[in-house]
Amino acid sequence: MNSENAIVVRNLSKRYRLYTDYKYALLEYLLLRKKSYHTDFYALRDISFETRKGDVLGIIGDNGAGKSLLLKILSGSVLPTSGSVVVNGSSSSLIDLQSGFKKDFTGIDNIRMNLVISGYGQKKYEYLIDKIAEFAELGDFIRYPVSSYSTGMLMRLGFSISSVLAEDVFIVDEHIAVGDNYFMRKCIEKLKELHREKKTLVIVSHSMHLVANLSTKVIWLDSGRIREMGDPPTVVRNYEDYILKKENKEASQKIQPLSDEARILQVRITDSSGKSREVFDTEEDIVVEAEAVFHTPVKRPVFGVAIFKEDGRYIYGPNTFFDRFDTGECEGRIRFRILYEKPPLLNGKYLVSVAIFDPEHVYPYDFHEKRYSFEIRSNFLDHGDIKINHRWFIEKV
Amino acid sequence: MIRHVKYYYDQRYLLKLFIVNDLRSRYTGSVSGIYWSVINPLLMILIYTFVFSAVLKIEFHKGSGTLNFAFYLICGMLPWLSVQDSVLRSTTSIVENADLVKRAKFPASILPIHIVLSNLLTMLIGLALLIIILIFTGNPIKITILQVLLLIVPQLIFTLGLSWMFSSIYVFVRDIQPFIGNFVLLWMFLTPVFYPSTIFPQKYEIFLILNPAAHIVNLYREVIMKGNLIQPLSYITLLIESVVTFLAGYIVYTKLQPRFTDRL
Repeated sequence: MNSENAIVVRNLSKRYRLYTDYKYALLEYLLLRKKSYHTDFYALRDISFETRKGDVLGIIGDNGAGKSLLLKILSGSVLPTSGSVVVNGSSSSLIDLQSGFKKDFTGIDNIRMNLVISGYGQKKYEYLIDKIAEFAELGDFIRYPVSSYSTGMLMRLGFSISSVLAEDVFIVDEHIAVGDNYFMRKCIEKLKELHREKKTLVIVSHSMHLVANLSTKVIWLDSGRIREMGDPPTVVRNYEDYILKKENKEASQKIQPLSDEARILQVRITDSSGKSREVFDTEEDIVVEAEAVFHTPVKRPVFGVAIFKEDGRYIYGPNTFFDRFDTGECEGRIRFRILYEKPPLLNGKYLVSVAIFDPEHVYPYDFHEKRYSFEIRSNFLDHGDIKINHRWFIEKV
Repeated sequence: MIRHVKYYYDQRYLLKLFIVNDLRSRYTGSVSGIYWSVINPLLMILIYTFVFSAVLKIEFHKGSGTLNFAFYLICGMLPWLSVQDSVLRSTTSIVENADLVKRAKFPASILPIHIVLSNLLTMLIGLALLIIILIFTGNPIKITILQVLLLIVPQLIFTLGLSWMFSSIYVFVRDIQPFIGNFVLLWMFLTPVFYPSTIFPQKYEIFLILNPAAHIVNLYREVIMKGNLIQPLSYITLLIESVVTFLAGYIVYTKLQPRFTDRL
């Protein structure tokens, strides 16, 4: 094994035997496995990868893809069915701390316990206890049994212990999202610090932002296999595309008529000249045009078109009700259109919802939720959600 | 095996932490915490002494004295309770601390071990109190009392073996818990705790010979109450039984331990 490698995983698989009832497992054991009562389930299959020292490995994927299991195997708390895992140096893992407290011990005693488990002798660790307690910022609670802690407090303690103990490899589950914003930022700072100290990090997260920002290498797990592995921007983008497609597919599958009065027939996203487009520049006019049919005459129905960032964040959603736009009496086929003038949107993908409501804007006749999309690609590199026109000033005083 | 002994030696701080917390947690919420480990057995001794010597007035033989019966009873009960409580509490210890056991570096065996050691400590405190009371009530204490140290060894490895075995089997077969509860009850009556072994029916004597707890209880009484030398035959039988139990428990535990996480 190359000494530059921190983690080497070869052909790793984890199989679970699923029994409908555990008595069958016992039966099978007693019959010396002559007869089989189980179905095999591969939670991980044929995983191979390696990371170099100082790498930050991000693991992404849907729920149930095997991310957490992979972490548990890396941290040694679950044994693989086949294949090999070599972790160079001592590792510390956040996941197994999450639930791995002795509930009736005080915070201090839990810190002690973890230090001893990690191989610290009695003498060496007194100053580490202070360091951990200080990082956790639990105040007097540190002297009370952890059974009295909230989830956030447990997480603080867990992160504090495991990050201070991180010697060579630090394995972090997405639980860092449990803390409040302040502590989460502190965690991320700590992760960056560990990275600067050339420690190897393994991070599982649903926050693509976090993964894309911190990682130096990303693995995308799909149903227990590696679907893609490589540099973070590419893998994260491909994964996000996949999510988007999946959501669209799901959305179009669940077309349920909400009520009979009206139906949205089709929706187009075009530029101001009426040409269908998918990619726009920042501050370029965007038109969303929809065709609908009204089965019964409705006086002043409400039309709404909303824009979301691809992670689901609501950006803007005007409708004819709030805008006091008179839609008149609608019957039969109609076409309505909204022109977004110079939207100050920054780079990224956007989702569009289109809806028709009753005149009182109480319930929708039809609602196409986040079913349409467009992308903004521009030269503005500014961070954030929207562009706010601005000027800078500087002067000597 | 030597590797394992070293392993547990390395875990001594953890063991200390667990034992202290265990002793403390028995009297949770109490201000004096750990001091109850002394007060509690003292109260027990006083209550038994009062009940059997002042209220019930039970004697072994005519003229042997009611006070003696109370002490005799306590001297057998302390080691028995230590074994019983160790076995009962150890059985569920691994399952109850599933989250900890799932952790990579956590030595699961420390859970039954610390319960056994904590109980042993409680028993020793109780016995020390008993011996002090015996001295104060005018009973002669001879140097032979030091033989207690010889009894601790087989008691420890026997209890440890049984606790390892039950705690690891319980992970896989949860049905054994009610069985163990009843088994321990039967076991208690087959052990001369509340009666002298001399009244045990001769034809069932095999139960006494095969029962390590019977040897333990009898030998403690011989050494503490009578100041006798340990009967070699009984002691050797006990040693053999303890070692066999220990090895059996150790083998079962090490065989099952790698598969704990799949079942917890």
